[in-house]
Amino acid sequence: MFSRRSILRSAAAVTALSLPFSGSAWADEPLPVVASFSILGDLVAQVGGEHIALTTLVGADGDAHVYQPTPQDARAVAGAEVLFVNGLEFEGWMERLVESSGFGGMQVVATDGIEAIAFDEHDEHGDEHDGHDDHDDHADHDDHGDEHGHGAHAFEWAGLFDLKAGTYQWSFAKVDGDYADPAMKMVMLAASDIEAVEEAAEGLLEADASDIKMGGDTLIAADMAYALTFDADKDITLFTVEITEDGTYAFFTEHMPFEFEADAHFFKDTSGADVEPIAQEPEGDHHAHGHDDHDDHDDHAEEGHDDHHGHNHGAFDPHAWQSVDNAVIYVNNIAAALAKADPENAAAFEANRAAYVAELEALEAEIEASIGALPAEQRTVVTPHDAFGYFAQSYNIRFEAPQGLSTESEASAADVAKLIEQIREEGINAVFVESITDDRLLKQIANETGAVIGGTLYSDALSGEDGPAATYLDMMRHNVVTLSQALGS
Amino acid sequence: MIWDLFLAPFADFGFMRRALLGCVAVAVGATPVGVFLMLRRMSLTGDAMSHAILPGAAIGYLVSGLSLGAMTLGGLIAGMVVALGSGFVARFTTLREDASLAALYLISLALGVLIVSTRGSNVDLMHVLFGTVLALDDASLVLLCSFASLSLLVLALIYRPLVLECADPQFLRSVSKLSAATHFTFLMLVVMNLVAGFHALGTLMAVGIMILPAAAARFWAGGIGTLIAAAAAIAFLSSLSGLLLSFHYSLPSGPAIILVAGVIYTLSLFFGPEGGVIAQTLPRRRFET
Repeated sequence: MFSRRSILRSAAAVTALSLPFSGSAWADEPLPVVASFSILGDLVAQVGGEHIALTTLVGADGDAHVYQPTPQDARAVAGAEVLFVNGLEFEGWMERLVESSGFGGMQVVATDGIEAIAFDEHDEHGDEHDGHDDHDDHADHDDHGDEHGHGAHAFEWAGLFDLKAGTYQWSFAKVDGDYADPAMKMVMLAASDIEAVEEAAEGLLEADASDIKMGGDTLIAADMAYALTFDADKDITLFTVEITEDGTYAFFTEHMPFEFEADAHFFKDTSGADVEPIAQEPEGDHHAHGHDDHDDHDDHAEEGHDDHHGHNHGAFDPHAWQSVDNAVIYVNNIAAALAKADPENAAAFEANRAAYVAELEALEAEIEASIGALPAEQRTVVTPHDAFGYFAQSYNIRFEAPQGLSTESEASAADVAKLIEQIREEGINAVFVESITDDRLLKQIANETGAVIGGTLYSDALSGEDGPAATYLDMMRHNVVTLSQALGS
Repeated sequence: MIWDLFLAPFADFGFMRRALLGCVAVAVGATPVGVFLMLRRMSLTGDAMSHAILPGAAIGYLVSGLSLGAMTLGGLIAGMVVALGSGFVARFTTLREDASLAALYLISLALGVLIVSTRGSNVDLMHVLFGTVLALDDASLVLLCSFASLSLLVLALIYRPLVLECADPQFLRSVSKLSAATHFTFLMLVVMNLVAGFHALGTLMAVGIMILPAAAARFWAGGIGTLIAAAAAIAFLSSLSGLLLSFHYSLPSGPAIILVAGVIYTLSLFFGPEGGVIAQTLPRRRFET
């Protein structure tokens, strides 16, 4: 599987290492760029072509979750003009690497603009199964009804944020399978404090006129009330908040924003970092609202999401590339960033992008055709590593994580028994192994339950050049073929 | 009650039956070898050998992936090279066997770690090296059972010279040329059983099921025949209880099995009639009447 591109790519990687790390590329020299892991690297190479010298940090078959950067990586990052990362806290080690290497170029988050899936129902890798039991405790939420009527305000909550110009993301997630309310009104005003604009906000909220906004829409500070409508088909509805000038902004919401938090903080900046209010009404932290059972929340303000143990995952599933639609967004982001860093070759990048997006669209059609041919009742599979959330959402396949099996420690007989019972009870059709996990145990379990062993699905890394998943397109094709072969039988 | 606790896990789940069969095979094959190791004061040799095997298995894995054959072969070769090498050094130089064995297994271990590290893969090799008794497929079970049978057969063949060598190695050496052959064959058996055990229990646990039942049995039996029978029984009991504990209390199965053997050893240490702590402290006469 030695394509012309892959040869170019390896040549490019070699050049990147031998480049003098001056930080400024000659006009006719390829642009030194770094991608964090193999899949992203492939996408960058497709767009950049011969105009970039690409170094990929976590190579084929490597696990980017638990990667340990090497000194060579730091050198490559230091010499790069553009650094591509997946974002969504996929590369937990990247921030430190960027700091320690003294990287001065442009860092591009490839998942920018993607509708991230929150880690809510499915917990991470099956590591943390106590998490599942907690869900029962969420029943508290039903009691919220009595809180709604309190106070004379038209809003339940107001928060003042100190924001820089830019875009932010406000998320409303389903908790226990439902939004706390199907819609709510919100007002966003530039203000120095809450009191100053409280009355104006109340007037706007009480007025009948309001601008209806659906998931994905952009909100700006304006003298109007937004009627936010939540997408019942999705687990999370995201709104983009556009701030044009640095300053403080007051947000007034008809309901508590915390009621819509599944696992993640409701307000984030584009890098995925939580944005906390500098003042809010009612005062105090939101734990008073029956949310104590969300154990994750306790750490939000201070630490971000380190409480998700195991693999440094944040509140969102980072494996966004598992949906081809998202890959198109990746490619668009990559092309835009490359054009910005190297305007002279912008036309070439755009041509590569367009050609590759056409390939991606063909792939998408292919996937839909072959998955669509599968019988509706045979669409549940088990994989050891919970990386297929986006794939599941886009192509309507149910992925179950093995109950109780951890990749970190030796299995107990109880864990294996639990998984076998799960497979029997939930009518799971196929068990898949993954490129980066030990599969002996799964094979045994499949034998015992009569589920089909589905071969290897590639999730987080490409295979080597000669493997079945040497490029992103190959990887997706391989996964789809593997899935449909196992499920179609 | 008894059904739920002891039988249901095996009736409901094939992997439990496989695990039990695997353990029985290891118990039958390895414990007699363990008994002879103990009698020849070579108990620690088992431990050294298990370290010598680890690199061989690791290299086997790196060469051809998660293949039963390659890892078994790698382990066997590494173990045999160390066993034969140390025996050779001991017989033809002034260095004694314990020192030469220690030297060779350390070299082998270091070599293995070096190869594993330079390969630089992010695949967690320790995962692969710690086999689990819960994941025994048909091929592994066939391997375990054939190794156990072969081990018993060979042991039966060299039984007499082996017992002699335990009792009086100088005598055997003076009357027969079989001494060296017996010794090497025996070391092969050790290696073979450790490789089999490493598929079932992982490299480090394999040596436990070999040595602990033998050491515990020493407190219950006097003759070599009864000693072997007692050791095998203890190994079987440990495997069964360990698996059940793993099933009911969600414990990792390998350590659970070895720890049960450890508990039996500790109890034997105190209550065993043959030289146990209590038997030793009580006046001899009361036992003779």
